[in-house]
Amino acid sequence: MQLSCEGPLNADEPGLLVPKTVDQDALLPSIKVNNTQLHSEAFGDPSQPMLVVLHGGPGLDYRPLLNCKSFAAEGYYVVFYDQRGSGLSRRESKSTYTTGIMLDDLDAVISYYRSSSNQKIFLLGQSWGAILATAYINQHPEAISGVVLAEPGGFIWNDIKDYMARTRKYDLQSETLNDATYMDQFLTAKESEQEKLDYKFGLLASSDGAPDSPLGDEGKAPFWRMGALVNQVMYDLGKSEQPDWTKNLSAFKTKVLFVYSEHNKAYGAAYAEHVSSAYPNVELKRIDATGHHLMTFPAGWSNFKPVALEYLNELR
Amino acid sequence: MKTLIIFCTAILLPVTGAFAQTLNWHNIDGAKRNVVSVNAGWDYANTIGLAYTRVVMTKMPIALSGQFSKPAGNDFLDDFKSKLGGQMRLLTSGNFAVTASVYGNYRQYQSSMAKLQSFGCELAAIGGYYRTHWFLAMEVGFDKAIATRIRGSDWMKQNFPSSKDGWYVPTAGNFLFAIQAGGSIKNIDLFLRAGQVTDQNFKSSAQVPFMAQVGVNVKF
Repeated sequence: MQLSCEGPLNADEPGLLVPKTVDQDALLPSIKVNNTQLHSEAFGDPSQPMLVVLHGGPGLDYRPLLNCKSFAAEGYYVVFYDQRGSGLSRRESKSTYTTGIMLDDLDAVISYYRSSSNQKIFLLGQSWGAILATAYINQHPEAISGVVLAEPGGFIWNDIKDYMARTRKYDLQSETLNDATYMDQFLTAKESEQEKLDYKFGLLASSDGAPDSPLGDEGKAPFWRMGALVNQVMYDLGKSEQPDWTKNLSAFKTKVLFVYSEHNKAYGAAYAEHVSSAYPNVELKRIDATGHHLMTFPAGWSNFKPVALEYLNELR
Repeated sequence: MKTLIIFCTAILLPVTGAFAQTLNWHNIDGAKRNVVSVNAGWDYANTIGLAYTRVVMTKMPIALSGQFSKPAGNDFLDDFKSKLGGQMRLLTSGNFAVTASVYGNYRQYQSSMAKLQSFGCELAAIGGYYRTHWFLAMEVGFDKAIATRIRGSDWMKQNFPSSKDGWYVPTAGNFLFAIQAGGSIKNIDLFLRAGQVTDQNFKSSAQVPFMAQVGVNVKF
């Protein structure tokens, strides 16, 4: 063990254990909408159909979805943003996080980048992002021209809860389980110590990329910052509000592309069929040679992109 | 914080080289002053542990202990906890006794993201009813990770190149509220220790917010 002459560090200081957010680093691309500051970028011709990419979590970021940038070369205006309190977006206080405000943020992002009122809007959501896309469509079925959903945990709370439990099934003797729990004696944090909370959440989430994870990913997906507080609040809200985002989906007659991965043991064909059945018109596809982060790693991406592109081109 | 470090250091320095464990103070005698213990249970993970205790029979008996535990998992010794310290019987009234314990600890955690090495201190007060063949006690403890060296893995360095390795202070504090119970036959004690773990802010808990331990002491 090396001893350093440098003074002790504070785990809650910005930029030491987790990257600075847009309010701490002016060089990061950002937009100010709906009384918050979001880390956001757009690629492609702004007059082309807009494809808004929605990341997982809640609390994660769009870094693992950057392969989707290549849709810009296919004639789409690709919009990325880290959701409120997530990734490199500004942290907010606990009380501001609600599903309603997440939907308002999505609305505001679409308005910010929209170049004309007849511009077609497509959503592409991964995991929690696919849930958020569905909640938005449930609220505004007329506003969206098409949607690609990749392994949403579910659209009603009980499905989400059960799915989450399946993704965390580890052997009591496994290294992955102790990697997730043993750290609690090394790191504790107050609600106000968000950098520390985020770092700890990042350590916890690394178990998702472990070889024995039911998610079946090829490795650990890259990320900028895991937003611990927003994740915790949204989970608590789910428990208390028991949301059902399917009630108005029958009004969305457009075909939905619903994809699931070959290697995610917590998902599978039967569950994909069950979750996707909330939509009246679904194209269900399995993406081979990949796990839950099916847009992140090379094999999954090369199998996913042609399927998604064919669907989008059909509806553009 | 400085006070805590000084307090822990002052108490631990004289007992370097010794060990401690869940004990039935009522059946410790001058003839069998060595105690070897094995234990298993949940202590932030599924763990097994080994301890050695030497009892010093002074006017106020002191048990000096060392303990080592490691969680299950494929990577041998990437995670572990070692403790060194002692406990002292402070008060006795009939079969009731109150003891205080202080341990210094060094522990390590390693995952595919980071390696954490931490120096800390555990303080506890234990009060209970002790008979020759059994005991029942309550324990209130506080475990502070005073200084933790955080080193990102190669993957982490790739993911966040400007992350800062170094010593972070302080990084954690957890309270333990537990019960201890045990039975004794000849020179063997069986004991159980279980309780709730909550962090120092009393607002959040460990992911598994309890600890439970079963063990055997052999006295000789």
